[in-house]
Amino acid sequence: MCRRLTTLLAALLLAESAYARPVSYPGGWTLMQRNNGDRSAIHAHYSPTAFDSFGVYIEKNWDEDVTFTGLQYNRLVKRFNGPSSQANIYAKAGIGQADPFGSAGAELAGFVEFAADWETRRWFTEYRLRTADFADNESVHHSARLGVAPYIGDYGDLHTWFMVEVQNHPDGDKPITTTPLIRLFKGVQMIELGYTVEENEWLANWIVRF
Amino acid sequence: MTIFKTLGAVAALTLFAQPAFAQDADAMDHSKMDHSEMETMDHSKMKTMDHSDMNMMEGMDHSKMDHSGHDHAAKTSDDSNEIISEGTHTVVAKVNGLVCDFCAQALRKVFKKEDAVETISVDLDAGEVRVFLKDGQILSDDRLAKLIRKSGYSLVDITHENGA
Ligand SMILES: [Cu+2]
Repeated sequence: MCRRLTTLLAALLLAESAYARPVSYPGGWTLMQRNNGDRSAIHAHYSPTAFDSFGVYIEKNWDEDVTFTGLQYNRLVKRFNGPSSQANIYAKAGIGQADPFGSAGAELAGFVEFAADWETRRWFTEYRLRTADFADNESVHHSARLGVAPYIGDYGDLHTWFMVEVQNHPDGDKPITTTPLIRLFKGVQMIELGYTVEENEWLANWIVRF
Repeated sequence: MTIFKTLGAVAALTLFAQPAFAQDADAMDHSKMDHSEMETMDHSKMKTMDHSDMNMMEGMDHSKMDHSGHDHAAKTSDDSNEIISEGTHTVVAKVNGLVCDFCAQALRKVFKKEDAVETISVDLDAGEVRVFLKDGQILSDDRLAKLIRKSGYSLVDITHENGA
């Protein structure tokens, strides 16, 4: 699975680098990886505008023992631009197939996600709500984040954030989990490393934009 | 852990592929967006402005320009100051919503695709986008507003600095 994924992404990225210059290229690409105690996911998306994007989404869900493979669409529903702040409301939807670990057959599956954030150069807050239906396994998942930047760097500097993420899965064994994390952001790359206390699991997220 | 191997492989590929992407500019169609606030702007002065005598500024030293309140460390351009200093008309846009480097990158990508634009610098502290135009080029206020919107931000006001 991981090898196939790597090959797919390699093809995608190499095709991109080969053709980006000669053909007119209207938007940007983003590659996101998210790994924590619940899931490992990869999302590669393309933005035709600053207000929407679509791409592929693959998730291995360790909670529900299922692999989701599908397409995802993201929409910036509303952005509020303040003199030194920004707030966003996003709607996201994914449709594809869910393949329970060890089973032969895949089933139609999907999820919808709602996210809202507010940030300044010093503070960051975010709330996300996801409902998923993966192979007859319906789940609801809330997560919230609060972050603070210990210093305000200039453009191009390494930016550092200290954050805490609280997750709630009402149906889970541990309904509430807490993950302190550090976000490092420089240029087009963003990395997050954290540790989920209740589950003794690491969090590692990585985002790159082109 | 295989997931970290994947992460490493993808990271390596991305870093390898990056220089080719770095040149790209984003272009988006926002014809549906609301530009009503721009219609109240006065463009009459710009349209009659004569740029033919721009070369009077040749030999002008960029360092002597007034850059107070403008942080050069926050410049998004990789071009040297010398290239943009001669005969440059500069437009300064006060912009809302600038909170991080991604904001600056989005603006840079959008403006880089504009023919009249030599380069831009983004001052996150001041919430200012400084647009350096190519020799003898102009950028209308409504075009500038459109580019700011297209990048995802809100224009507050525009100031022209005619190289004086
Ligand atoms: Cu930003």
